Amino acid sequence: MSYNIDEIMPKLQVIFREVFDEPNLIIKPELTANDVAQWDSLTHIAMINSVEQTFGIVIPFQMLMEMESVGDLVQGISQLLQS
Amino acid sequence: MMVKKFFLLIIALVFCLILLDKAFQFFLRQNMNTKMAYISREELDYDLLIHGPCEPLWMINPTQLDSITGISSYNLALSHSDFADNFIHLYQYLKHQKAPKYLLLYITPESMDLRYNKFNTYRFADFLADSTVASIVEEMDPLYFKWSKLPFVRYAYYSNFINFKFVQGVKHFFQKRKTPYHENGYEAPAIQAWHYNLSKMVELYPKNIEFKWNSMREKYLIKLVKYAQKKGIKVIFYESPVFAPTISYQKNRGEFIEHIKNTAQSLAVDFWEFGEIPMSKNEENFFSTLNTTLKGSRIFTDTLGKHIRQNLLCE
Amino acid sequence: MSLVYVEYLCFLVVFTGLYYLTSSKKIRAYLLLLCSFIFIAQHSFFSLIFLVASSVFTFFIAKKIAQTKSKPLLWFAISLHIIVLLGIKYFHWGNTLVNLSPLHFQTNTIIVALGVSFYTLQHISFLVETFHKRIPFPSLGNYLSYHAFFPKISSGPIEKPQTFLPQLASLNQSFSSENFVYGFQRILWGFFKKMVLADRLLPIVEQIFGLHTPAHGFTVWLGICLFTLALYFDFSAYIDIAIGSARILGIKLSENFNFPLHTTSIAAFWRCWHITLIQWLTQYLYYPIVYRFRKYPTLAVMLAIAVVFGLSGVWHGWGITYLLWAACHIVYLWFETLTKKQRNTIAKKLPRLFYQNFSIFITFNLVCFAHLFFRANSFATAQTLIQKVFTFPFFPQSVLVDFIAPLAGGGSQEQVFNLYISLLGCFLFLFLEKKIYPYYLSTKFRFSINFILLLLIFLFGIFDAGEAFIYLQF
Repeated sequence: MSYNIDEIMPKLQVIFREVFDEPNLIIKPELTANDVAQWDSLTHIAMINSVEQTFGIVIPFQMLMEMESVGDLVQGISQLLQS
Repeated sequence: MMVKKFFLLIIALVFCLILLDKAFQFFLRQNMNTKMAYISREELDYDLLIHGPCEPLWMINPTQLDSITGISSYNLALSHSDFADNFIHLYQYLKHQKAPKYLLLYITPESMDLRYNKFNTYRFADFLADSTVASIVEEMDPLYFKWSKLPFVRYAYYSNFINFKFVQGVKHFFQKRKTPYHENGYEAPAIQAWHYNLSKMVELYPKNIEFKWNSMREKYLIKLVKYAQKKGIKVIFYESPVFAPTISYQKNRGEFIEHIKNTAQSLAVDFWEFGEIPMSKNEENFFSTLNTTLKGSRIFTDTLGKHIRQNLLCE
Repeated sequence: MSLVYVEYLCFLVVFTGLYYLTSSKKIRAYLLLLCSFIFIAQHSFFSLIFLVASSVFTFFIAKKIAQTKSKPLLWFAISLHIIVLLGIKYFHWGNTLVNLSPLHFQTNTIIVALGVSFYTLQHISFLVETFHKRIPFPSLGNYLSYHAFFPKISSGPIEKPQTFLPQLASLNQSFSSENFVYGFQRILWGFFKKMVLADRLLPIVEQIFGLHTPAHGFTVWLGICLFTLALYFDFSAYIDIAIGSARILGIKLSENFNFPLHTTSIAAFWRCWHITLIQWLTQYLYYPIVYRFRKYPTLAVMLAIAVVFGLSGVWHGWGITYLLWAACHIVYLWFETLTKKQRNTIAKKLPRLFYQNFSIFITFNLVCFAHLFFRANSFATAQTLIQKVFTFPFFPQSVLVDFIAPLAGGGSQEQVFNLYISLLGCFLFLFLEKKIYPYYLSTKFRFSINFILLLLIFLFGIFDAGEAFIYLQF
C-alpha cells in the first residue's frame, strides 16, 4: 500500500475527530496539542495507536519523541510508508 | 520615544514621592497616639517620667501611681524599645517640655542583651531633620539611613509601621485631636486570648539562657543617664518582677544583676530591685516571663508607688 | 530597600551599559560569561568552581559522545549527574535549612552550590540532545554561559539547549528600546509581586506553619492557601525579573508560569506552573515511558505520572514531606485520568460558567492541600496542621480572636490594618492579573499601570525584610 500526503490527511482527520471527540475538527499541518482541547497525553497515545493500526506501521520511539505537530506526524507516516 | 516616556515616568514618580513625603510628614505629626508626635506638640509638665520597653509601658499606671505618691507622672515607655530608642524619646521630651524631677528607668539583664527589644527606626522617620536623632539612627540602622535620603523612602522603608499611623494622623487632624488614646502613656496589657497559657510558656522557655552583655546597649544607657543628669533629673534604675519559675533557667542572671549594680554605682544612680518580690511567684500576675497581666500590673504599681513614697520623696 | 535587590539592579545596569558599549559578538560573549561568573562568585566561590567543573566535565564527555555515539558513556554521564545532585540534596548543600531563623523559613539558607538543581537538568538535556545530534555543538564558552547566565542561575527557568544556545551564538543585536521597555516592565511586575504581595504574605504563612497560634479550622486553611499564593507570587516574580533582565540584553528566556491558579484541572495546572521543569520531565521521562508502554494507554499514563512526580518530589528535596506532596499530585492526576469521560459528561450537563468556576475552586484547594506538605518542616507539622484544619467548629467563633489575631500575629489596629491590606492586595491581584496583564504590555495603558505599580511598591512594599526567593533553596 502506498499513500501520498493528500491521502494521509483525510484518514488522519477521521482518526482525530474520533479520538479527540470533536466531530467538526479540521486538521492542518501546523495543528499542535495546544490547539485541541481534548489532546492530552492519554488521547495522544490513543491517537498514535489508532494511526499505527490504520496505516499498518510502527512509529519508532525517536520519531515519536521529535513529533510536535500534525505536519511532523504526516511526514513521519509517509516516510515510514515509503520505506 | 519610548526612552523619553521612560524618563517621564521616573520624573513623575519622583514628583509624586516628594508630595507623599510632605503629606506623610504633616499627617504623622498630627497623630496623637504616637508618643514622639505627642511629646513634641502639646505642653506637658510632669514630676516623674517612667521609661523603658513594653514592661513598664504595660505595668506602671501613672494615674494609680500618682494617687499613692502625690506627684505627677507620665509613662514614656514604648514596646520593643532599647536604650537608643529610649534616649531619643527622652531627648525629644526634654527638647519640648519642662524637665521632670525624676526618671525611673526599667533595666533587667534582658535590657543589656541584643536579643531582647531593639531600635525601632520607624518611630523616628519623621524626625531625621534633627541632627542628634539622625546621627543615632545612622549608627543604629545604617542601611535605612542611607536610603532615607531618597524622597519618601524614609517612610516607605518600614511601611507596615507607618501607613496605619499616617491614616490615624489624617483622622486626628480632622478631629482636631489634642490628647492621645492613652493619656498618661500607660497601656493596660491586652488580654492575650490567642497566646499560649503560662504553663506552656514555661515549657517553651529556653533552658539555660545565657545573657550576653552588649556594649552598644551600655553605651546608650550611659548616654541616656548622663544626658538626664545634665538636665538636673534624678535617675533611678528599677528591675521589675520576673515570673519565678523561669529564673532558674537563666544561667548568669546573678552575674548580670551585679554588673548592672556596678554600672548604676559608677553613674551615681540608685538601683531598685523588684525581681523576686512575692507577686512574682503567682502565675496569675504574668502572661510572659516579664510582662504582667492587668492584675499583676496593679499590684506592681502599688508596690512601686509605696516604694517611691518611702525612698524618694522622704529623703 | 533590601540590599539584594538594589545590588542586583545596579549590577544589571552596569552590565547592560558595558554590554552595549561594544557590538562585537565575541567581546559580548566573554563579558556575559565574566559577569555571570562574578555574580555567582559573590554568592559563594564554591558555587562557581562547582558550576565550572561540572560544565567542563559535561562538555568534554558530550564531545566524546557526539564522536562515538556511545550509549554507555551517555548513561554514565547522566547517572553521575543524578548521583551528584542526589548527594548534594542529601547533605543539604543545595538547601541548608539548618540555620532556621525563627521568623522566616528561608532566610540564612546557605546554598553551597547555587542553582545546581537547575543546571543539572540542563546538563542532562544537553547530553541527550547531543547524543541524538539534534543540536549543533557549541563552544565551551557558550556552554558555560548556558548554565552560568546570571539572570537565571539561581532558580531557572530551565532552558532547553536548542532554544538557548542559538541565542548565545547571535549576541550582536544592537540596543532595542522595545526590548528595554519590555524588560523594564517585566522586572517591575516582578518586584511588585515580590515586595507588595509575596513578602507581605510570608509572615502570615509563618504564623500558621510555625504553629505559633492555637487557631484552627478555616483560619489555618486560609493560612495554608496563602502559602500557595505566596509561593506563586514569589517564584513567578523571580521568573519575571529573570526574563526581564535577559530581555534587556536581547535574550529570550522561556516562560515558567501561565496564570496557574486560574486553571480548571490539576493536569492543566501542571501545564501552567513551573512549566520549564514539567516540560523537561515530560520530554525526558514522561513520554519515553508512555511511548514504551503505549499498548496499555491508561496504565502507561498512570505509571509515567507516578515516575515523573516521584522524581519531581526528590528533585525538590529529600524528605517524606516532598514525597507526600508528590503523592498528592500523583493521586489527583490518576483520578483525573480515570474519570476523564465522566467529568466530560458532567461538564456538558452543567452551566459552563458554574462548572468552570467550580473546577477552579476545587483545583486551587487541591493544589493548596498538596503544598501543605511542601511547606511543612516535618511530617509531624503537616499532621498537626491537618488536624487543626479539621478541628470543629470550622468557621471562627470570634472574628478578631480566632481569625484576625492568629493571622496578623496579634490584634492591634495596626496589625489588623496591615493584614487587610495584604489580603486585599493579594486576592485582588490574583483575580485581576489575567485581565490586567495584557493591558500592562500593551502600549496604551503601559505608562499609567507602570506608574501605579511603582507607587504601590513605595506605599505598601516590604523594603526592610526582603526575603530570599523561596525557590533559591532547590
